Amino acid sequence: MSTRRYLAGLVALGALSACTIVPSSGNPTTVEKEDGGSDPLSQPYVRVIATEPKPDATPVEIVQGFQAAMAGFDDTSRAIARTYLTPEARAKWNPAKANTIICDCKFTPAEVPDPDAKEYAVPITGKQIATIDPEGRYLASPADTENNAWDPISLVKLDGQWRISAAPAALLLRPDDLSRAYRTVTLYYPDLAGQGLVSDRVRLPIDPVRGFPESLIERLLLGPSKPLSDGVRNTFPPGTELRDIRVEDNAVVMDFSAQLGELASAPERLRAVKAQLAWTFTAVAPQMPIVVTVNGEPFPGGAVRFQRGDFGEFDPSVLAKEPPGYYVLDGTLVKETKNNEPPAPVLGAAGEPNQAFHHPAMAELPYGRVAALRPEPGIWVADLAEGSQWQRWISGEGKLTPPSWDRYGEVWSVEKVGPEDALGSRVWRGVNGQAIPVTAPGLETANVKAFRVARDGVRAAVISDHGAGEQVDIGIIVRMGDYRVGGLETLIPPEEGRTILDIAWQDDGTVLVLTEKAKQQSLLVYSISGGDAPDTPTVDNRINSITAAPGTILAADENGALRRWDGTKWNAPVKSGVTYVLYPLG
Amino acid sequence: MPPPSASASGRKPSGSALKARGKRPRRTLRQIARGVRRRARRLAGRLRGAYRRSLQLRVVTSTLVVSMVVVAVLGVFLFQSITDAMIAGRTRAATAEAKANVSSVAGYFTVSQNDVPPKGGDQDTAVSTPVELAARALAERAGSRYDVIILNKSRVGQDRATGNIDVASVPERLRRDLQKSGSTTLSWRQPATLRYLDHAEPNQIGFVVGSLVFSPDGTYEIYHLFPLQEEEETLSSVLQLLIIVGAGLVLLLAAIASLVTRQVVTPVRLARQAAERLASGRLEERLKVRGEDDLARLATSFNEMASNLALKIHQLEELSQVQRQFVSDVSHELRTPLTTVRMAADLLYEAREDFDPMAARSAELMQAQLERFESMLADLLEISRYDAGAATLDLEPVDMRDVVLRAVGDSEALAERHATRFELRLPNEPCMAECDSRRVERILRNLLFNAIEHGEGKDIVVALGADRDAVAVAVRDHGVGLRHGEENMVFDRFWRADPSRARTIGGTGLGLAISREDAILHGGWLQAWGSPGEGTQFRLSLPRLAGSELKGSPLPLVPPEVEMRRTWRGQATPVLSAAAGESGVFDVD
Repeated sequence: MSTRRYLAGLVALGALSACTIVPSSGNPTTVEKEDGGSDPLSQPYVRVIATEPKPDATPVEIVQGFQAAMAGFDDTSRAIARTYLTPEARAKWNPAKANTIICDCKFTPAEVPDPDAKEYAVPITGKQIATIDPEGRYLASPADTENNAWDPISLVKLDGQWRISAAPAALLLRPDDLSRAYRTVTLYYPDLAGQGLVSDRVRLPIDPVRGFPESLIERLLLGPSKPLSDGVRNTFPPGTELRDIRVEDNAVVMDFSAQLGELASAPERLRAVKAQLAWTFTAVAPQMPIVVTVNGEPFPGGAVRFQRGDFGEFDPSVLAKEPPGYYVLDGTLVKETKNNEPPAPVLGAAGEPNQAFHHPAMAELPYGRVAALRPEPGIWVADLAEGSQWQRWISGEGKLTPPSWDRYGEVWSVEKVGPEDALGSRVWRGVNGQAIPVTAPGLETANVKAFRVARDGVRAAVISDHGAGEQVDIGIIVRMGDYRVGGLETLIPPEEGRTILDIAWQDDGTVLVLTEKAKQQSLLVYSISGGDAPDTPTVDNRINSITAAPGTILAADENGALRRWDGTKWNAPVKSGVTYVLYPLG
Repeated sequence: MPPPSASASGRKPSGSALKARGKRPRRTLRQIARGVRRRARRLAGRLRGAYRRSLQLRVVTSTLVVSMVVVAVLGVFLFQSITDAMIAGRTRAATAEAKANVSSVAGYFTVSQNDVPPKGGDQDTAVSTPVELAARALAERAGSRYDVIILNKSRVGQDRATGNIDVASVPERLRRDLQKSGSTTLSWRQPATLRYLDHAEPNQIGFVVGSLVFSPDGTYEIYHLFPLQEEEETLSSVLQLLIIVGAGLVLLLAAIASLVTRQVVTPVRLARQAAERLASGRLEERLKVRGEDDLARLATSFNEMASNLALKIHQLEELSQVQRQFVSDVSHELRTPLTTVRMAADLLYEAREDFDPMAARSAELMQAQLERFESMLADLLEISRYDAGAATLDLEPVDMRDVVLRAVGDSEALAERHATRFELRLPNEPCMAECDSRRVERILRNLLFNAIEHGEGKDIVVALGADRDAVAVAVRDHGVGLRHGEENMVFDRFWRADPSRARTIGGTGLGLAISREDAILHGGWLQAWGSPGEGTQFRLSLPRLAGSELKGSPLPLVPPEVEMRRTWRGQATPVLSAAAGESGVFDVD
């Protein structure tokens, strides 16, 4: 009897232990890239560990160590790099004020130093690639600075140890160091009207102590970089500081100092600030909502919680991804259609046959309008409405560049002024039929071939000729008083024998440039903040006209075919009859 | 059994101690400490008392202690095995990951950085050196889960780290051992504290796995630093849970023990209370019998015992009553013939001079023995009155000095015969007391006769003392004294200190017994002290107001000079119990 009971107990125990604790079956669930409680704000990065000079190091080792220490961002005062310097050099060396130099440098001395030598110089060879100013702007150096005359790094022997007595004034980084120690970020600032955001791409040094999100928002608070700062504004009240940034309840909580609380009485500015934060923080956590607090308290006048999706209308690109394009087909402006349907002519004058216009530009917002050049001089505008007529908005006497719309419903063009053989231009903008001249100091003594206002409404790309050949400049439209075009910076310097055929904005930071040199056309994609050049599509046929929108490029080739770049190859949805292509704005 | 309210009463002393401290801040620290100690001692004593008395408290306490020990042992064992399993699992997984990482990036290090073709260009992604590639690959794999540090002792500027980990997190010993081993197949592991740059993050507990990778540029040390913060947090929450559950379990067990013992203890407590009431004379006390268990049987037996006892006591009482009645009746019946015999004897005694000397002597003897017989009969009658509860007091306020003087006067003649002198110590003021002076005089007379009898001719001290509530008379002789234990026996009826000794004064053997009955009737005490060779002292203490309770005596029971002598010798006098309730006779003789 008792044996049987024991047996029963053993069987029960065995049955219990056969059940597993970990589930062996279940429903499939999606897994995030990094699942499991890790901080979504932190992103992996590598840093150089700066070390102090080793005893009895050779001059080359000292220079290499110095270079590595300069690339180490552990502390912003570069205390370890300074240990490679002599005391006098240490006192003078202040790299924080100078532009950081990116160069493909090598420190290779010709000969080994004499053991008894007290002084020595290590030459620097290599070419300068770019500079980064203290604001973080990347300025690519001209390609022809091949053989820079670098001052050699001189060393002296102090107490039997080599130390650098004359160091380069600026931080000298290699491309490796640049990609490791800096992150390219896009800051967003509202235009002066507060209607949209303008991107400002800068290089942000990685600060391991503060972390990337904190550095990013602090950089945003500092304000836009130089030439752009005239055309946009920083809506943060002066003196605003970031106190803390953390993740709480699956939302990013940004805690600012009390100054931000002033915006409680200015809802429009607050909205711009929220848009700025939401768009800028996309680089860190695009999906997470943001909560703004002031001094640890909820924002005065109601909690502030938002996402980037709430501020779609602030998009500096204005256009959605891969929007439908427009093209001139047999003298009529038509809209691109899908699935091989016959193209639909636009409403109004531009959509009617035999209208004799060329180089049209189109605005969909705030009004649907088409501006174009016609056989008669001037810029002609027709509404995208049934039965509209061409109206002359700008009546220039000289040759006018093709019109370009901005997002505020103003049409821009540049008139050639002065004698035919002299350089000179005047910038016009047309507002509701009125032409208003705009001062543009940089363009008054240049011929302008094209003037394209970016879709963000602040930047303008200009094909100009200052006498040395055609070049592409990026300018800033300052919408204050009677407007001004300033801050011109050269994106593509002039080159002997090269002509620039056309430019087009792809998005807020990318410009397409069609050049021709020795009968050879090439299409270049330029990032206006420099640095990285996306893959450039090669052209197989000669192109007459290009246009671009986020994610897509349209071209009209010499055979009248409509060509579309799908990222890997050119398609030809329309085989003939296309003379000009365009996307709204840009 | 008092309820286990030890904790409630135990808090009081400390509370009052605090209050006292607050009230009298001038007390020195030592006094305070002494006070606290005293209170603690008192509390401990009270707790000990409660523990000794309460069975329930004892059971609950032992259950608490045992279950605490068991839960603690189990908890430690459980926690230890959870910790081991968790840490071991994590360590194993992390080490495997570190090894996999190292072997996957080892390929980058097969080329020297000098052999890498310069890429140039202005591209952001221009990464050329092997260590850079390896560090990026490792950073990508590590994410924010752990950190990697790459060190190269022989080349300058080849040290890399991911995240904001501080290089000082790699323990020196691990580096040394790793460098010494010089093997790429072996990895080294060591627990460490992970530090972060500028304390951007708090230090974390973790461990470091180090491996070597050979390269044309020298040997690279690759350290993986894994934080164990999550495990630490999980384990500490598990620990908290264990402690809470353990404490709850212990308390639950104690509550269960308390409940179970209550079921047993309550009937036992009722039985005890019933037994106490029975002992105090309430013979009709019975227990309620419920059920048929052991406790019910205990109650049945108790009840049987109680009824048997009551029966026996009743029988004995009846027997005693019969005996007393017999004594009383015999005494009464003897009086009538005795009167006749007495009258005849008186006649013979008065005419004795006419008899021959032999007959005259016989008449004298008869007369004396008849007197003794008479007084004995009187005493017997008196004591049977007490036994019957028929004695009453004739109360009046009297000056005790007069009572003492009268009693001394009555004893003068006997004292002279024994060549004994009285030393009177009387107060100057009147000592008024409400009492029956006849009875008190009889007591004092008895005491004085007794003292003369045993005083061996030495002085007898008679002292009268009074205070607000009571008066006392002490009679002290310096005779042979009493042996230890005889202080109460002297009040027994017909007791004799030395049976061989003859009665010289002709006491009846009932004097002290009657005196004690008289004292009790007054609500007073009659007590004796004696010591061999030091004499005897009897003390009569009476309340000033009849009917009021006597709380103390104005005179000491032990003579002051004896007490002083003993104190010098450093001995304490055993406190004599107040003789009350029992009757007895000191054989005075």
